[in-house]
Amino acid sequence: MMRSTTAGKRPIRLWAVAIWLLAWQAASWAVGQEILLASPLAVLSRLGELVQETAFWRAILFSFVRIVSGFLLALSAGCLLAAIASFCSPVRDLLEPLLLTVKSVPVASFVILCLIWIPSRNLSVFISFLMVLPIVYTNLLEGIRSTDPQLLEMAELFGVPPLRRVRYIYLSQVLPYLRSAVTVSLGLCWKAGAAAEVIGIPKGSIGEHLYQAKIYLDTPDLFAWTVVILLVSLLFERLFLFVLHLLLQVVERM
Amino acid sequence: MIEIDQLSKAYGEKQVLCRLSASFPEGETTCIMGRSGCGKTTLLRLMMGLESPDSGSIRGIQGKQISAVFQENRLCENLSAVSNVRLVCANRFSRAQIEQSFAEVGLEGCLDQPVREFSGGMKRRVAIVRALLADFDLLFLDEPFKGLDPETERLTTAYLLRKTVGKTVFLVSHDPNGAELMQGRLFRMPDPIHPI
Repeated sequence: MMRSTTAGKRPIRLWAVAIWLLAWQAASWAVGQEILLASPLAVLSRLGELVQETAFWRAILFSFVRIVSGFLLALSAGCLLAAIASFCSPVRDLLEPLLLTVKSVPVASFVILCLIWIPSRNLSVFISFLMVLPIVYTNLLEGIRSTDPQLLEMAELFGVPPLRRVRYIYLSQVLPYLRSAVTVSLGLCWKAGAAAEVIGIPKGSIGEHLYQAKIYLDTPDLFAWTVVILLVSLLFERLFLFVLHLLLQVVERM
Repeated sequence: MIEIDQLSKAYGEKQVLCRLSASFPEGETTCIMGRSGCGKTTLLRLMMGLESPDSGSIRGIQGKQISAVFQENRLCENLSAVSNVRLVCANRFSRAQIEQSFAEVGLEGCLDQPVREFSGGMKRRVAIVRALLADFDLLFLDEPFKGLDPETERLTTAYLLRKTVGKTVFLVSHDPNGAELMQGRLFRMPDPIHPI
Protein backbone atom coordinates (compact mmCIF):
# COMPACT_ATOMS: atom_id res chain seq x y z
CA MET A 1 0.00 0.00 0.00
CA MET A 2 1.19 3.51 -0.71
CA ARG A 3 1.49 4.95 2.71
CA SER A 4 -0.38 8.12 3.50
CA THR A 5 1.87 11.13 3.39
CA THR A 6 -0.21 12.71 6.12
CA ALA A 7 -0.02 9.76 8.52
CA GLY A 8 2.14 10.77 11.44
CA LYS A 9 3.35 13.83 9.53
CA ARG A 10 4.71 16.70 11.58
CA PRO A 11 2.88 19.96 11.04
CA ILE A 12 4.69 22.53 8.90
CA ARG A 13 6.44 25.06 11.14
CA LEU A 14 5.79 28.71 10.44
CA TRP A 15 9.39 29.62 11.23
CA ALA A 16 10.61 27.16 8.57
CA VAL A 17 8.26 28.71 5.99
CA ALA A 18 9.46 32.19 6.99
CA ILE A 19 13.12 31.17 6.54
CA TRP A 20 12.46 29.81 3.05
CA LEU A 21 10.52 32.93 2.09
CA LEU A 22 13.40 35.07 3.32
CA ALA A 23 15.84 32.92 1.34
CA TRP A 24 13.67 33.39 -1.75
CA GLN A 25 13.55 37.15 -1.19
CA ALA A 26 17.33 37.25 -0.67
CA ALA A 27 17.93 35.19 -3.85
CA SER A 28 15.66 37.52 -5.78
CA TRP A 29 17.61 40.57 -4.50
CA ALA A 30 20.88 38.85 -5.38
CA VAL A 31 19.72 38.09 -8.94
CA GLY A 32 18.34 41.61 -9.21
CA GLN A 33 16.01 40.96 -12.13
CA GLU A 34 12.30 40.21 -11.62
CA ILE A 35 12.18 38.55 -15.03
CA LEU A 36 14.57 35.83 -13.84
CA LEU A 37 13.39 35.39 -10.29
CA ALA A 38 10.34 37.26 -9.02
CA SER A 39 10.45 38.13 -5.34
CA PRO A 40 7.77 36.87 -2.91
CA LEU A 41 6.62 40.46 -2.45
CA ALA A 42 6.18 40.92 -6.22
CA VAL A 43 4.25 37.65 -6.42
CA LEU A 44 2.06 38.65 -3.49
CA SER A 45 1.42 42.02 -5.07
CA ARG A 46 0.51 40.36 -8.40
CA LEU A 47 -1.81 37.96 -6.56
CA GLY A 48 -3.45 40.97 -4.91
CA GLU A 49 -4.17 42.38 -8.37
CA LEU A 50 -5.38 39.06 -9.78
CA VAL A 51 -7.95 38.36 -7.07
CA GLN A 52 -9.76 41.53 -8.07
CA GLU A 53 -10.29 40.26 -11.60
CA THR A 54 -13.32 38.18 -12.58
CA ALA A 55 -11.20 36.27 -15.11
CA PHE A 56 -9.01 35.03 -12.22
CA TRP A 57 -11.93 33.37 -10.42
CA ARG A 58 -13.38 32.09 -13.70
CA ALA A 59 -10.04 30.44 -14.53
CA ILE A 60 -9.90 28.78 -11.12
CA LEU A 61 -13.48 27.55 -11.49
CA PHE A 62 -12.80 26.31 -15.04
CA SER A 63 -9.74 24.27 -14.06
CA PHE A 64 -11.15 23.17 -10.68
CA VAL A 65 -14.33 21.71 -12.20
CA ARG A 66 -12.40 19.79 -14.84
CA ILE A 67 -9.52 18.48 -12.75
CA VAL A 68 -11.79 17.51 -9.85
CA SER A 69 -14.25 15.85 -12.27
CA GLY A 70 -11.39 13.76 -13.66
CA PHE A 71 -10.34 12.89 -10.12
CA LEU A 72 -13.85 11.88 -9.02
CA LEU A 73 -14.45 9.88 -12.19
CA ALA A 74 -11.17 8.02 -11.67
CA LEU A 75 -12.06 7.42 -8.03
CA SER A 76 -15.40 5.86 -8.99
CA ALA A 77 -13.96 3.85 -11.89
CA GLY A 78 -10.98 2.72 -9.78
CA CYS A 79 -13.28 1.49 -6.98
CA LEU A 80 -15.55 -0.33 -9.42
CA LEU A 81 -12.71 -1.95 -11.38
CA ALA A 82 -10.87 -3.00 -8.21
CA ALA A 83 -14.07 -4.57 -6.86
CA ILE A 84 -14.61 -6.51 -10.10
CA ALA A 85 -10.93 -7.48 -10.43
CA SER A 86 -10.86 -8.77 -6.84
CA PHE A 87 -13.17 -11.67 -7.69
CA CYS A 88 -12.61 -11.95 -11.45
CA SER A 89 -8.97 -12.70 -12.20
CA PRO A 90 -9.31 -12.42 -16.04
CA VAL A 91 -10.36 -8.77 -15.52
CA ARG A 92 -7.33 -8.28 -13.26
CA ASP A 93 -5.03 -9.84 -15.87
CA LEU A 94 -6.59 -7.74 -18.62
CA LEU A 95 -6.19 -4.47 -16.72
CA GLU A 96 -2.66 -5.15 -15.48
CA PRO A 97 -0.70 -4.23 -18.68
CA LEU A 98 -3.00 -1.32 -19.47
CA LEU A 99 -2.64 0.32 -16.07
CA LEU A 100 1.10 -0.37 -16.00
CA THR A 101 1.38 1.46 -19.33
CA VAL A 102 -0.70 4.38 -18.07
CA LYS A 103 1.53 4.61 -15.00
CA SER A 104 4.76 4.52 -17.01
CA VAL A 105 3.99 6.76 -20.02
CA PRO A 106 4.97 10.41 -19.45
CA VAL A 107 2.07 12.83 -18.96
CA ALA A 108 3.25 15.00 -21.88
CA SER A 109 2.98 12.05 -24.31
CA PHE A 110 -0.59 11.42 -23.24
CA VAL A 111 -1.48 15.09 -23.49
CA ILE A 112 -0.17 15.44 -27.04
CA LEU A 113 -1.77 12.17 -28.10
CA CYS A 114 -5.11 13.01 -26.53
CA LEU A 115 -5.19 16.48 -28.11
CA ILE A 116 -5.90 14.71 -31.39
CA TRP A 117 -9.14 13.22 -30.07
CA ILE A 118 -10.29 15.36 -27.18
CA PRO A 119 -11.17 19.08 -27.28
CA SER A 120 -8.53 20.99 -25.35
CA ARG A 121 -11.11 22.34 -22.88
CA ASN A 122 -11.78 18.78 -21.63
CA LEU A 123 -8.23 17.52 -21.83
CA SER A 124 -7.51 18.09 -18.13
CA VAL A 125 -10.52 15.92 -17.18
CA PHE A 126 -9.07 12.99 -19.09
CA ILE A 127 -5.48 13.52 -17.99
CA SER A 128 -6.34 13.82 -14.30
CA PHE A 129 -8.54 10.72 -14.73
CA LEU A 130 -5.62 8.81 -16.25
CA MET A 131 -3.21 9.81 -13.50
CA VAL A 132 -5.55 8.90 -10.63
CA LEU A 133 -7.12 5.68 -11.96
CA PRO A 134 -4.07 3.36 -11.59
CA ILE A 135 -3.31 4.61 -8.07
CA VAL A 136 -6.88 4.15 -6.82
CA TYR A 137 -7.26 0.79 -8.58
CA THR A 138 -3.94 -0.61 -7.31
CA ASN A 139 -4.42 0.51 -3.72
CA LEU A 140 -8.02 -0.63 -3.49
CA LEU A 141 -7.32 -3.99 -5.06
CA GLU A 142 -4.51 -4.51 -2.56
CA GLY A 143 -6.88 -3.51 0.25
CA ILE A 144 -9.55 -5.96 -0.86
CA ARG A 145 -7.06 -8.77 -1.41
CA SER A 146 -5.44 -8.29 1.96
CA THR A 147 -8.74 -8.90 3.74
CA ASP A 148 -8.06 -11.38 6.50
CA PRO A 149 -9.23 -14.85 5.32
CA GLN A 150 -9.99 -15.72 8.95
CA LEU A 151 -12.56 -12.90 8.99
CA LEU A 152 -14.15 -14.25 5.83
CA GLU A 153 -14.23 -17.75 7.36
CA MET A 154 -15.90 -16.27 10.45
CA ALA A 155 -18.49 -14.50 8.26
CA GLU A 156 -19.13 -17.76 6.41
CA LEU A 157 -19.67 -19.64 9.68
CA PHE A 158 -22.10 -17.02 11.00
CA GLY A 159 -23.91 -17.00 7.64
CA VAL A 160 -23.37 -13.26 7.12
CA PRO A 161 -25.06 -12.23 3.83
CA PRO A 162 -22.80 -10.81 1.06
CA LEU A 163 -24.02 -7.22 1.30
CA ARG A 164 -23.39 -7.11 5.03
CA ARG A 165 -19.89 -8.56 4.43
CA VAL A 166 -19.18 -5.71 2.02
CA ARG A 167 -20.50 -3.10 4.43
CA TYR A 168 -18.75 -4.31 7.57
CA ILE A 169 -15.71 -6.34 6.50
CA TYR A 170 -14.58 -5.06 3.11
CA LEU A 171 -15.48 -1.39 3.60
CA SER A 172 -13.73 -1.11 6.95
CA GLN A 173 -10.71 -2.89 5.48
CA VAL A 174 -10.52 -0.87 2.28
CA LEU A 175 -11.15 2.68 3.50
CA PRO A 176 -7.63 3.20 4.95
CA TYR A 177 -6.22 2.08 1.57
CA LEU A 178 -8.56 4.50 -0.19
CA ARG A 179 -7.34 7.32 2.05
CA SER A 180 -3.74 6.56 1.04
CA ALA A 181 -4.67 6.46 -2.63
CA VAL A 182 -6.51 9.77 -2.37
CA THR A 183 -3.61 11.45 -0.55
CA VAL A 184 -1.13 10.38 -3.21
CA SER A 185 -3.34 11.04 -6.22
CA LEU A 186 -4.82 14.44 -5.28
CA GLY A 187 -1.54 16.31 -5.65
CA LEU A 188 -0.69 14.35 -8.79
CA CYS A 189 -4.00 15.09 -10.54
CA TRP A 190 -3.49 18.85 -10.05
CA LYS A 191 0.05 18.71 -11.37
CA ALA A 192 -0.94 16.62 -14.40
CA GLY A 193 -4.14 18.59 -15.00
CA ALA A 194 -2.27 21.90 -14.99
CA ALA A 195 0.42 20.46 -17.30
CA ALA A 196 -2.31 19.31 -19.70
CA GLU A 197 -3.79 22.80 -19.72
CA VAL A 198 -0.42 24.42 -20.40
CA ILE A 199 0.07 22.16 -23.43
CA GLY A 200 -3.55 22.20 -24.63
CA ILE A 201 -4.10 25.91 -23.74
CA PRO A 202 -7.88 25.75 -23.28
CA LYS A 203 -9.32 29.28 -23.23
CA GLY A 204 -10.01 30.67 -19.76
CA SER A 205 -8.06 28.02 -17.82
CA ILE A 206 -5.27 28.37 -15.27
CA GLY A 207 -3.03 26.61 -17.81
CA GLU A 208 -3.70 29.30 -20.38
CA HIS A 209 -2.66 32.01 -17.89
CA LEU A 210 0.51 30.05 -17.08
CA TYR A 211 1.28 29.73 -20.79
CA GLN A 212 0.76 33.44 -21.39
CA ALA A 213 2.98 34.27 -18.44
CA LYS A 214 5.69 32.16 -20.06
CA ILE A 215 5.21 33.74 -23.52
CA TYR A 216 5.38 37.29 -22.16
CA LEU A 217 8.15 36.42 -19.68
CA ASP A 218 5.87 37.70 -16.93
CA THR A 219 7.62 35.89 -14.06
CA PRO A 220 5.54 37.36 -11.20
CA ASP A 221 2.40 36.23 -13.06
CA LEU A 222 3.88 32.74 -13.55
CA PHE A 223 4.73 32.47 -9.86
CA ALA A 224 1.34 33.88 -8.83
CA TRP A 225 -0.59 31.31 -10.89
CA THR A 226 1.67 28.55 -9.57
CA VAL A 227 0.88 29.65 -6.03
CA VAL A 228 -2.83 29.56 -6.95
CA ILE A 229 -2.57 25.96 -8.19
CA LEU A 230 -0.72 25.02 -5.03
CA LEU A 231 -3.31 26.63 -2.76
CA VAL A 232 -6.37 25.28 -4.59
CA SER A 233 -4.84 21.79 -4.69
CA LEU A 234 -3.96 21.95 -0.99
CA LEU A 235 -7.40 23.24 0.04
CA PHE A 236 -9.20 20.59 -1.98
CA GLU A 237 -6.92 17.86 -0.61
CA ARG A 238 -7.58 18.95 2.97
CA LEU A 239 -11.33 19.19 2.39
CA PHE A 240 -11.54 15.83 0.67
CA LEU A 241 -9.43 14.07 3.30
CA PHE A 242 -11.55 15.64 6.04
CA VAL A 243 -14.73 14.27 4.40
CA LEU A 244 -13.05 10.87 4.01
CA HIS A 245 -11.99 10.96 7.66
CA LEU A 246 -15.62 11.63 8.69
CA LEU A 247 -16.74 8.77 6.46
CA LEU A 248 -14.18 6.47 8.05
CA GLN A 249 -15.46 7.40 11.50
CA VAL A 250 -19.06 6.69 10.44
CA VAL A 251 -18.06 3.30 9.02
CA GLU A 252 -16.11 2.42 12.18
CA ARG A 253 -19.02 3.29 14.43
CA MET A 254 -22.09 2.32 12.39
CA MET B 1 -27.42 -36.52 19.99
CA ILE B 2 -24.34 -35.42 18.08
CA GLU B 3 -22.21 -38.34 17.05
CA ILE B 4 -18.74 -38.57 15.61
CA ASP B 5 -17.72 -41.86 14.17
CA GLN B 6 -14.17 -43.04 13.37
CA LEU B 7 -13.06 -39.48 12.64
CA SER B 8 -9.55 -39.09 11.22
CA LYS B 9 -7.71 -35.99 10.10
CA ALA B 10 -4.10 -35.42 9.09
CA TYR B 11 -2.24 -32.30 7.95
CA GLY B 12 0.40 -33.57 5.56
CA GLU B 13 2.39 -36.18 7.42
CA LYS B 14 0.99 -35.20 10.78
CA GLN B 15 -1.95 -37.31 11.93
CA VAL B 16 -3.99 -35.18 14.33
CA LEU B 17 -7.10 -37.28 14.85
CA CYS B 18 -7.15 -41.04 14.42
CA ARG B 19 -10.47 -42.91 14.34
CA LEU B 20 -12.02 -40.79 17.09
CA SER B 21 -15.55 -41.76 18.08
CA ALA B 22 -17.81 -40.08 20.61
CA SER B 23 -21.36 -38.95 21.15
CA PHE B 24 -22.47 -35.70 22.79
CA PRO B 25 -25.92 -34.97 24.20
CA GLU B 26 -27.76 -31.96 22.79
CA GLY B 27 -28.90 -29.10 25.01
CA GLU B 28 -25.86 -29.47 27.26
CA THR B 29 -22.36 -28.11 27.59
CA THR B 30 -19.48 -30.43 26.73
CA CYS B 31 -16.03 -29.42 27.88
CA ILE B 32 -13.40 -30.87 25.57
CA MET B 33 -10.08 -31.17 27.33
CA GLY B 34 -6.75 -32.67 26.48
CA ARG B 35 -3.05 -32.07 26.07
CA SER B 36 -1.63 -29.55 23.63
CA GLY B 37 -1.62 -30.91 20.10
CA CYS B 38 -4.21 -33.62 20.77
CA GLY B 39 -6.55 -32.17 18.12
CA LYS B 40 -9.14 -30.23 20.18
CA THR B 41 -9.26 -27.29 17.79
CA THR B 42 -9.19 -29.62 14.78
CA LEU B 43 -12.17 -31.51 16.20
CA LEU B 44 -14.03 -28.21 16.64
CA ARG B 45 -13.21 -27.09 13.09
CA LEU B 46 -14.43 -30.41 11.71
CA MET B 47 -17.65 -30.16 13.70
CA MET B 48 -18.15 -26.56 12.57
CA GLY B 49 -17.81 -27.73 8.97
CA LEU B 50 -14.77 -25.53 8.31
CA GLU B 51 -12.73 -28.57 7.32
CA SER B 52 -13.52 -32.01 5.98
CA PRO B 53 -12.37 -35.18 7.72
CA ASP B 54 -10.09 -37.59 5.87
CA SER B 55 -12.41 -40.37 6.97
CA GLY B 56 -15.26 -40.91 9.38
CA SER B 57 -18.46 -38.95 9.84
CA ILE B 58 -20.23 -36.43 12.03
CA ARG B 59 -23.97 -36.73 12.53
CA GLY B 60 -26.51 -34.41 14.14
CA ILE B 61 -25.03 -31.06 13.06
CA GLN B 62 -26.34 -30.67 9.52
CA GLY B 63 -28.79 -27.80 9.06
CA LYS B 64 -28.13 -26.32 12.48
CA GLN B 65 -27.10 -22.72 12.96
CA ILE B 66 -23.62 -22.40 14.37
CA SER B 67 -21.94 -19.71 16.38
CA ALA B 68 -18.38 -19.66 17.66
CA VAL B 69 -15.63 -18.00 19.60
CA PHE B 70 -12.54 -18.95 17.63
CA GLN B 71 -9.09 -19.50 19.04
CA GLU B 72 -8.28 -16.06 17.57
CA ASN B 73 -10.69 -13.18 18.17
CA ARG B 74 -11.43 -12.65 14.47
CA LEU B 75 -12.80 -9.14 14.94
CA CYS B 76 -12.95 -6.37 12.35
CA GLU B 77 -10.25 -4.24 13.95
CA ASN B 78 -11.38 -0.98 12.34
CA LEU B 79 -14.96 -1.36 13.54
CA SER B 80 -16.44 -0.55 16.93
CA ALA B 81 -17.52 -3.29 19.35
CA VAL B 82 -21.18 -2.62 18.50
CA SER B 83 -20.47 -2.83 14.74
CA ASN B 84 -18.69 -6.16 15.24
CA VAL B 85 -21.86 -7.49 16.84
CA ARG B 86 -24.06 -5.95 14.15
CA LEU B 87 -22.03 -7.82 11.53
CA VAL B 88 -23.51 -11.12 12.73
CA CYS B 89 -26.92 -10.09 14.06
CA ALA B 90 -27.77 -7.01 11.92
CA ASN B 91 -30.64 -5.18 13.62
CA ARG B 92 -32.08 -8.12 15.57
CA PHE B 93 -31.07 -6.34 18.78
CA SER B 94 -31.40 -2.67 19.67
CA ARG B 95 -28.30 -0.71 20.57
CA ALA B 96 -29.45 -0.70 24.20
CA GLN B 97 -29.67 -4.50 24.22
CA ILE B 98 -26.18 -4.81 22.75
CA GLU B 99 -24.83 -2.32 25.30
CA GLN B 100 -26.54 -4.31 28.06
CA SER B 101 -24.78 -7.49 26.90
CA PHE B 102 -21.42 -5.74 26.88
CA ALA B 103 -22.10 -4.32 30.34
CA GLU B 104 -22.74 -7.85 31.62
CA VAL B 105 -19.17 -8.81 30.71
CA GLY B 106 -17.77 -5.56 32.12
CA LEU B 107 -17.36 -3.60 28.88
CA GLU B 108 -18.75 -0.09 29.13
CA GLY B 109 -17.95 3.38 27.84
CA CYS B 110 -15.78 2.25 24.94
CA LEU B 111 -18.28 0.68 22.60
CA ASP B 112 -17.88 3.28 19.84
CA GLN B 113 -14.10 2.97 19.74
CA PRO B 114 -12.57 0.81 17.02
CA VAL B 115 -11.61 -2.50 18.62
CA ARG B 116 -7.99 -2.09 17.47
CA GLU B 117 -7.70 0.24 20.47
CA PHE B 118 -8.87 -2.49 22.88
CA SER B 119 -6.71 -4.70 25.08
CA GLY B 120 -6.55 -8.47 24.46
CA GLY B 121 -9.05 -9.22 27.22
CA MET B 122 -11.51 -6.62 25.94
CA LYS B 123 -11.30 -8.02 22.41
CA ARG B 124 -11.93 -11.52 23.77
CA ARG B 125 -15.12 -10.34 25.47
CA VAL B 126 -16.30 -8.64 22.25
CA ALA B 127 -15.80 -11.98 20.45
CA ILE B 128 -17.81 -13.76 23.19
CA VAL B 129 -20.69 -11.26 23.10
CA ARG B 130 -20.74 -11.43 19.28
CA ALA B 131 -21.02 -15.23 19.42
CA LEU B 132 -23.80 -15.14 21.98
CA LEU B 133 -25.89 -12.50 20.23
CA ALA B 134 -25.77 -14.42 16.94
CA ASP B 135 -28.67 -16.73 16.24
CA PHE B 136 -27.45 -20.27 17.00
CA ASP B 137 -28.37 -23.86 17.80
CA LEU B 138 -24.78 -24.91 18.45
CA LEU B 139 -22.09 -22.86 20.12
CA PHE B 140 -18.37 -23.67 19.84
CA LEU B 141 -15.99 -21.99 22.25
CA ASP B 142 -12.26 -22.43 21.69
CA GLU B 143 -10.38 -21.26 24.77
CA PRO B 144 -12.89 -18.44 25.36
CA PHE B 145 -11.35 -17.21 28.60
CA LYS B 146 -7.87 -16.72 27.15
CA GLY B 147 -6.42 -13.42 28.36
CA LEU B 148 -9.11 -12.73 30.99
CA ASP B 149 -8.26 -11.97 34.59
CA PRO B 150 -10.05 -14.10 37.25
CA GLU B 151 -12.71 -11.46 38.01
CA THR B 152 -13.51 -10.85 34.32
CA GLU B 153 -13.49 -14.60 33.73
CA ARG B 154 -16.08 -15.01 36.50
CA LEU B 155 -18.29 -12.26 35.00
CA THR B 156 -17.97 -13.68 31.49
CA THR B 157 -18.69 -17.25 32.63
CA ALA B 158 -21.82 -16.08 34.42
CA TYR B 159 -22.94 -14.31 31.23
CA LEU B 160 -22.19 -17.42 29.15
CA LEU B 161 -24.15 -19.64 31.53
CA ARG B 162 -27.16 -17.31 31.45
CA LYS B 163 -27.17 -17.14 27.66
CA THR B 164 -26.65 -20.84 26.94
CA VAL B 165 -29.34 -22.45 29.09
CA GLY B 166 -30.73 -25.44 27.17
CA LYS B 167 -28.28 -24.89 24.27
CA THR B 168 -25.68 -27.27 22.89
CA VAL B 169 -22.26 -25.87 23.71
CA PHE B 170 -18.78 -27.27 23.04
CA LEU B 171 -16.03 -25.68 25.07
CA VAL B 172 -12.37 -26.34 24.45
CA SER B 173 -10.19 -25.45 27.38
CA HIS B 174 -6.80 -26.19 28.82
CA ASP B 175 -7.86 -24.83 32.12
CA PRO B 176 -9.84 -27.24 34.35
CA ASN B 177 -11.19 -24.20 36.26
CA GLY B 178 -12.78 -22.71 33.15
CA ALA B 179 -14.36 -26.04 32.27
CA GLU B 180 -15.58 -26.51 35.83
CA LEU B 181 -17.09 -23.02 35.91
CA MET B 182 -19.11 -23.85 32.79
CA GLN B 183 -20.62 -26.82 34.65
CA GLY B 184 -20.33 -29.07 31.62
CA ARG B 185 -19.89 -32.70 30.91
CA LEU B 186 -16.22 -33.54 30.43
CA PHE B 187 -14.85 -35.15 27.29
CA ARG B 188 -11.17 -35.95 27.46
CA MET B 189 -9.36 -36.23 24.14
CA PRO B 190 -6.82 -39.04 23.62
CA ASP B 191 -3.20 -37.97 23.99
CA PRO B 192 -1.53 -36.52 20.90
CA ILE B 193 -0.35 -39.00 18.29
CA HIS B 194 2.81 -36.92 17.79
CA PRO B 195 3.37 -35.28 21.20
CA ILE B 196 4.58 -31.66 21.03
